[in-house]
Amino acid sequence: MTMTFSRSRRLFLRDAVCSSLACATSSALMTQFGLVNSALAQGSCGSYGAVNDYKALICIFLLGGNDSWNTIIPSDANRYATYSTSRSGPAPTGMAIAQNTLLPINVLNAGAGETYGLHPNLSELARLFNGGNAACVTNVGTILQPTSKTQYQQPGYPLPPQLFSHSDQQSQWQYGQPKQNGTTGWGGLVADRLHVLNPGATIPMSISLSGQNRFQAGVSVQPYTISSSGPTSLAGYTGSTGTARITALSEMLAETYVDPLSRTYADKLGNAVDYYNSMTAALAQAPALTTKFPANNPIGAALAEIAKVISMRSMLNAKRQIFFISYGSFDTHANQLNDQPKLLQTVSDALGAFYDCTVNDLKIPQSVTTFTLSEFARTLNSNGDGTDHAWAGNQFVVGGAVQGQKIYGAPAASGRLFPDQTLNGPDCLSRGQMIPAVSCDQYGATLASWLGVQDCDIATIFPYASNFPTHNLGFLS
Amino acid sequence: MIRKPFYRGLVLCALAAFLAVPYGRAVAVPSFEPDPRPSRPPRVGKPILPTFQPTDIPASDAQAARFLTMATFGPTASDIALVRQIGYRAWIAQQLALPASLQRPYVESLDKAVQNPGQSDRMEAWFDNAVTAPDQLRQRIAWALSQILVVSDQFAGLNQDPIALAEYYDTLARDSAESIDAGGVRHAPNYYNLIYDVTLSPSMSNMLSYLRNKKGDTTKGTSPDENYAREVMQLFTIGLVLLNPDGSQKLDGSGQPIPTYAQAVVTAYARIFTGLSYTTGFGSNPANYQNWSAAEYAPLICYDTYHDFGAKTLVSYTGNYGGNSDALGVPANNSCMGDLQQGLAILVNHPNVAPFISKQLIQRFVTSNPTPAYVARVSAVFGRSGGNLSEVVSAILTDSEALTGAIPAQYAASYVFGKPREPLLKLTALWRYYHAAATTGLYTFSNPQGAYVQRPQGASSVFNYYSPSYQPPGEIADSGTLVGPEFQIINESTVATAANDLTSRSNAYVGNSGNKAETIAIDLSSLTAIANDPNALADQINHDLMYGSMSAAMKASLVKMITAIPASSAVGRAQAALQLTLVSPEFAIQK
Repeated sequence: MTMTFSRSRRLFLRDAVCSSLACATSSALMTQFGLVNSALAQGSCGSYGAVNDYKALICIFLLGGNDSWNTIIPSDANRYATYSTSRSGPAPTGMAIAQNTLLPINVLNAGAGETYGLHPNLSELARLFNGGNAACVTNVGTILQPTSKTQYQQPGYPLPPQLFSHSDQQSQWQYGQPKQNGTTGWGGLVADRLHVLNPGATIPMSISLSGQNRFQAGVSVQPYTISSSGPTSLAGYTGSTGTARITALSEMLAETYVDPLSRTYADKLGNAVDYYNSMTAALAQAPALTTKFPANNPIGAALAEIAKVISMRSMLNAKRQIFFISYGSFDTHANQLNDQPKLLQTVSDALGAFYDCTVNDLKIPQSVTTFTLSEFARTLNSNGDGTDHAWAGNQFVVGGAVQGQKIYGAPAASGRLFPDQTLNGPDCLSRGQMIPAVSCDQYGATLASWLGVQDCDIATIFPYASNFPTHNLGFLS
Repeated sequence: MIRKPFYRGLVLCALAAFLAVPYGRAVAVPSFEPDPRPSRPPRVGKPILPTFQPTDIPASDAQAARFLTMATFGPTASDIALVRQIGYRAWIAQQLALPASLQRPYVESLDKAVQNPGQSDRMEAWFDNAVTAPDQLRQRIAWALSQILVVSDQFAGLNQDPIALAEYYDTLARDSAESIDAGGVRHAPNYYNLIYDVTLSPSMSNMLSYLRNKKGDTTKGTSPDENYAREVMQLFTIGLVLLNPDGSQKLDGSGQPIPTYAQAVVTAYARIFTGLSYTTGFGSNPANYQNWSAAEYAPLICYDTYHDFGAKTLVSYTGNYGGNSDALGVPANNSCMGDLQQGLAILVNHPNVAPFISKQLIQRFVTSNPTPAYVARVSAVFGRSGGNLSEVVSAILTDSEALTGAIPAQYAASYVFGKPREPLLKLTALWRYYHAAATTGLYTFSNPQGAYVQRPQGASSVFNYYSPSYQPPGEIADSGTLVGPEFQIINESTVATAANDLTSRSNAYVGNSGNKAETIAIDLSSLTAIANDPNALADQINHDLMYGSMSAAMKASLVKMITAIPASSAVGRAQAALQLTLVSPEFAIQK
């Protein structure tokens, strides 16, 4: 159903149009609170010219802390033995995945004598990796500057607050600054800069398939939430009295509310109505996808919906888009050997189908990059039935622009790119909490740069990235 | 096994234990005076009304309804009249003297011996209590606690164990006010007893995986599970950083927050929580989701064989984990249950607990952004009463900030009174005022998750449906200080799904020819009777659902809409007016 409203609503960009009373009261409140609109204070370092190509980033957040040391596993005899010992041996009480079940991957930049395998439930990811369309970033986590084990143990050394806490580490990964303050995410700050590349767009640059999230929260651009079955319409506004109801709703949405809580709700409701029309009109014309997505797979369903949106990018006037999906729980304190394989299978199957869809349906595999985030990896050491919160882990990046079949990162204290897994060795703490050699900000900055963010904006969005040798890990072309 | 420790004795014992621990020293005094088991006679069924206070009587239906919006699952005409008659405090006392309406006996009667029962019957029990239970305040406290001490059917096979979850919810309801157990033992509703019961609850032990948690095994190279150890501190008692009594953060010399614990404390508490399992044997599984044996729901017991008896250094109330740490602890070779009791007492006595829990409770009942003065007043009651939840909630609901909805002048520049209504409580408000019922006698709504993103005990993690510190992007986030927790589940999709369900519920009225036996139908007769008068109809809905807070502009919009609908359709007018009220920004915010 399409609803036509008498008022002309803005405005997924607060700074784009500020003629409405809501804006005026918002400014009044800010003045009242003695605050400066950070959107105006922040600005951009340079203007962004028009682009003709299309690019999309898709973030898949694995909630709960994925045990990513069981996703990519050193399979050569020496390192597998270390891995197995550190993981407290095989099932049922140990977490080591049997060596003979690992899916072999051919890592182009593996060191001499080093081989790797993926978890047996990551068959699609292994296919993408071996096909050159997926890469792994290893030993990446929340750090503010290069951090050795000695430095970690040194009182007063700058560390992100509340390491090992779900909520805090989730925020830090999504923020672009591994510290506590603020409410934005790096995806949102990127959209704040790049939304100008979507002239004429009637829906926001950021679209969430998983509701509110820190990653996409910008200063001026906020995400639009749809579900895996598309945008949700308001029901109950048709029939002989429909017009009267729509008029009443329009009037309530156009009303000036005295408190920010009512305004915030009114804003969401108004956006729901406004964006629905644009999105539904576009999706109604989306061609059916020929790619078969895995059944009963929430990530697959979300990615299929994203594919439909991308297929209508021209009609939506979208040149740059950022999508968000969250999935989990990966918080496998217990029952890990039963639960994690199913979760990994879900991720892998969805990634495989979606990549194929970008090739066969969308025909722009090089324009769509999908990447994982997760707040932390887990202790290598078992608690008897699972693992506990730890620190650095592995993330995967998929897409035609990925310089695939490689492991990216920075040498750990042991000198190795893929860290030494000896418990309490040079690269980890006593239970195998790996100390990051790569910052989550380097990872984010690499992705943001690929989407088109200029270096000087990278420095603003990821202020700690300059503490590291490079803000581009090189896994995207 | 002693079910609950005698509190004062426990603390003395714990203090003695601290003194015996070589690596730490005891802090001088617990942060609040513990609440001994009460000695006065039972008052269940015999409410003792406080002294009549003239200012305690609401001046209008609107004031009474506004209070009931905070204290119940929604005002009703009879509750409004009662509060106007006896006043706020007497109403609270009367409510808390009522025995807890329980879910378990009901769910058990439906699901016992049923394989793979799912959660439908538990949902029905929840809605039944929310809409009809006489002990509304207790139920509302339990609902608030269920969002702090989160157990969810999304974890550990609990989705097929509704009886275990019902028992957990009942524990929260029982511990919200004084209760007397089957053996005639009285239980004070203090926070220690609550945490103690929660910790021994089979549901929580499944949720946070400390059921059958074993001490470290050097042969196998395994360590104790840290899950509960972390979350009992981060979420259930002390939080992440040291707090002042007014809920503000304490800062160190360089202006930084001070962490309440270090990773080593998590590891130590993981060792405290070793050895717990069902009464039927450490490795037993009375659950199995088919047997429905009583042992499956009985408080856990501790098995020495699997408990770590080493000394444990626990939290420092000053956050000092350096060389001269003042961390408290428990000695080696303590008893298994002694470790648990002392370890929990050390947490509950932490000065953080009062502001940390008080502020979250205020957010669930009254306002998202209580002033520091409000938090401090409630914290003081928390401390003074030994964490007595009945007294804490009474203080929350009768505070001047709650009753007036006004922010004192010195805070007016940076605080806003009010909170987003929890989406699910919009529905219960509609159902309660208009006497919703089905001819089956059941409240059949098997999964409110899809429409409201709130399924009781169905959160997607132990972090609840939303975070108490969530700041929605936009002007609230820009303010730097304001929060709006419920906005975390209100987005362009869910704002529509909730509105749509409410619309269909407003269409399910008594007399609708489309109703089925299980349709939960509202009684619109009080509205249809006046539907020929658009002004009166709008005023009545304002009275019923919005405690008289509707703006003139909103009323004008409703009146215009009602007028445009033919007067011959009284039901159409009433339904449309309800539909638009339920979706409105003004109804969405409780002020």
